[in-house]
Amino acid sequence: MLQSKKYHIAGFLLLAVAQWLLPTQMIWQEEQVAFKGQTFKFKTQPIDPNDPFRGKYITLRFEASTFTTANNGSPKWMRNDKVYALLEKDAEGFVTIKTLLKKAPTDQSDYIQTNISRINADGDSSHIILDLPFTRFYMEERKAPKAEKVYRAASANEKEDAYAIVKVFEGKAALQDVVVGGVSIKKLVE
Amino acid sequence: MKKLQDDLIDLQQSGVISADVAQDIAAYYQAKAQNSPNRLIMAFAILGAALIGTGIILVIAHNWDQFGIWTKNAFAVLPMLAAQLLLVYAIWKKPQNQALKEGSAVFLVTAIGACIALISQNYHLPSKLDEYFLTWVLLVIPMIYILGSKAASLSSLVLAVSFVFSAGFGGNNAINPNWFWLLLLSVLPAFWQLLRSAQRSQFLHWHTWILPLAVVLGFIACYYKEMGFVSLNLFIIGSAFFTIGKRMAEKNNSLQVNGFQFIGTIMTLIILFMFSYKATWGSLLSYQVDHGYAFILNRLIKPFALFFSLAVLQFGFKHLISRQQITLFEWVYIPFTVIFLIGLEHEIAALFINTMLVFMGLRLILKGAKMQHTA
Repeated sequence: MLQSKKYHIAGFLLLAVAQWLLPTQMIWQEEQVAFKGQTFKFKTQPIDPNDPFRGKYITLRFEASTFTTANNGSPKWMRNDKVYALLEKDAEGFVTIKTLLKKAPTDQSDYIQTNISRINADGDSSHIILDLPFTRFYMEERKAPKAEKVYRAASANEKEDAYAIVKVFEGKAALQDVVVGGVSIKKLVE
Repeated sequence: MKKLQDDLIDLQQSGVISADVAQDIAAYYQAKAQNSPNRLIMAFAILGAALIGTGIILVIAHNWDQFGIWTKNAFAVLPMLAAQLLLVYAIWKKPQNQALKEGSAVFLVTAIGACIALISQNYHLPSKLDEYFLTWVLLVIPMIYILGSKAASLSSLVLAVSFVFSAGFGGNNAINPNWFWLLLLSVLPAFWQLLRSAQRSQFLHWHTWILPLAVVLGFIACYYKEMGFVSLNLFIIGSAFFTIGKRMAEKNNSLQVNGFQFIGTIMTLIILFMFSYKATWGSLLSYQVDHGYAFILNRLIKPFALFFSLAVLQFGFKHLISRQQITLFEWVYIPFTVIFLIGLEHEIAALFINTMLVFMGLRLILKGAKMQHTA
């Protein structure tokens, strides 16, 4: 009986270790990006006023999620392709996509691994829409309606900058904050 | 107790039982009443625990934004740690206490899901429901065999169905929903063991409902784009369920009404009603027009495999299935399959189905009348 109990406990402890591995790995990965990653500002696009917010998060759209390429260029892209988007900053300090690669670059770490959501043909060029992995900013449910109004007003008003602060490290991205008019949206809704 | 005492006096006076027997009966029921827990106190205890728990959660939620990331992470993993400690205590100190073990297992299952969800929210990770449910169920399935937990088995089935629905209807980027069948297979040995060992068990009863339901929902989620052909699969599976359910009822008295028989019957009737309409056959005919015979033959491989497997089991290994005669809902898949093949060419199949429904209705009425007469 005692032997059977020991086997049960041993088996369960092994299972418990496996159950701890996943959350630990999730936290470790995100903290690595936050600690070692470089900070980028992704400018947000005006959002659909009817559906800017669902549940406890703000849905974010970014200007940098669209990359334009020539139709006769190489390589050829298809929907759902995995891509590596090299990042660069424009004159105002916001992110633009420099180029898309099929393989991860080995000589730099300022790139994001993502997928192609869809491709819109436009004459001689194509607009590639990327599925960036940081399109939701979770907030406390009580504050969400106020945040929605602030975010929507800022997105519609071209004079006021609204952007997301994202840390990027070796293909992984970690969303840190959403800033409206130079102030964190969390402070704006306090 | 007063009513019992009055009844005992009546029986004594009528000479049915002696004074000694009446005394023994009264003493037995008195002892039983003392040993059973006071249900009102139990109800208040559960309500009190629920209110305290809700209060704690609400206080934490109200101040969530004030906490740093590491405090939030701690709140995410603490329930999981508490559940695991409770399970270790249950296994080590109270191995005979099944209620404690099953309750702790349920606590752990929910804590795992909450932990993954909270950490994803803390770091604003993209939401992919299919990945979330798949990860969750893969962490729960080992609990079925390591802990021998039936509650974990039921939870795994529910999570597996959640996965197949989010994957099946999730679009092109979703995980292949057919992984659901592997998850289902991994739960089957536990169900088989439960079937063989437990005579009267509420968990066994729940399994007989949730398992066939999971199979049906899994089929719909995996193959909803070709519902016409899936209906044939489901019809044959309905007959298989009825066969299995009938055998279970024979072997175990507590399973006289079981989910396999009920779901098998309902599925059969629903599909028959669906196919009693000409429009349904019309949409099936369009497959031939749009895709050709090769497409149709390809789609018929699975149902044919099911058909022959069930026919061999029912007629070749009859002694394994049932000692009684094969009943209507067990063999109805044979004429339905024949009519289905006719229906791929002509809408007259609708007339055959309606005739079949009338025949089945009459047969059931006659059976009911015969049972009434013999009772």
